[in-house]
Amino acid sequence: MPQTAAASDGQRDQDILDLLRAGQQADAFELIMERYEQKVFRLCCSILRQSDQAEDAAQESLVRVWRALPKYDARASLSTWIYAITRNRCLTAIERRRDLASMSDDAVAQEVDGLAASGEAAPDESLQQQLSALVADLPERYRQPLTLFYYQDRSIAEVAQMLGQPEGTVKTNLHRARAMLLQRLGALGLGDTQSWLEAVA
Amino acid sequence: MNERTPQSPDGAAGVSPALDQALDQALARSLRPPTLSAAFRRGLEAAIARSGEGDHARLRAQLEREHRQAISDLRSGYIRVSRGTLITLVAAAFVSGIALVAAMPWLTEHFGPDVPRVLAGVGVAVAVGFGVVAWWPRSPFARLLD
Repeated sequence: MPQTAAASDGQRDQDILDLLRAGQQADAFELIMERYEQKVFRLCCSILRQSDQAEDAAQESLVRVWRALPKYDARASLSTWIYAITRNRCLTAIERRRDLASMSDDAVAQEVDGLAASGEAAPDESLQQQLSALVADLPERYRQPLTLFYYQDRSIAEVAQMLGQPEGTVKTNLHRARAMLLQRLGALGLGDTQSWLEAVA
Repeated sequence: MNERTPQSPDGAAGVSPALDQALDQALARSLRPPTLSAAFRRGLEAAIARSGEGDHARLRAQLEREHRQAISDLRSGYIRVSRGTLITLVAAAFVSGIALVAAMPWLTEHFGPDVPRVLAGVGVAVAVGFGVVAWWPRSPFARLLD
């Protein structure tokens, strides 16, 4: 767990802990919603991929947080605790709806084939979708930190905390994800990869 | 990649900074943060309210279970006490009869024709004694003394 991120979150969430100690659970939860609602949803999106499933999982996670809040003992930082609950709910959702958890391998393959066939003539919107499809095709250990990295405004500390991994691991996985993406882009025979990427951006 | 771009967490080895930066910007454009639907907060509040109802229902079911168990325990205890009382009464009557038969010659010798009155008096005294012993612990006088 990244110590610096956890420590700063611990200080930032002190007001929530004070409210909890004063028995003001509703007010504490309101602050939690303000700070973590979007992050919980983004974490769910990065794990489950589909926003409707992610929204259900985010809702279930926050209900769990609400119900467990009186028993929260502050042994782990609040953010670590919330993200752990969220990851568990996502894993449960994946087990429950394994066939719907992600874009199927066939769909990804079709998307990638389409990318190779379309070349550079596709419009920007389509290029973004094609790049997203390539990201979706990455192994989970690379795809999750990569998507969260961009969802969280390129904060490695935040991504590490959300995934419950050390920052070094996140950096390594991001590096490998980018290298793998470039390698796959090169293998698609798009011509000049850099020009293609600049067209996407 | 020999140096890091400001955006990149760690450039890929052998990749030019320009390519790394182009990838970073393309990813930033393609992986925009998702946003929650407008109905999310309402749905969450409803789910929390429903979970509270579930708590109440569970608590109620648990209390009803405990109540049924307590009633059942009381009933079984009452039957056990009733049976014990009946056996005690029968045994006491039997022992009293034997004791009376054994003591009758001695009683007749000492009290003559007053034996029935003496026996009735002794019976009343014993009954009153038992009654007082049973009543005393629950009486207000006992609480005052405590």
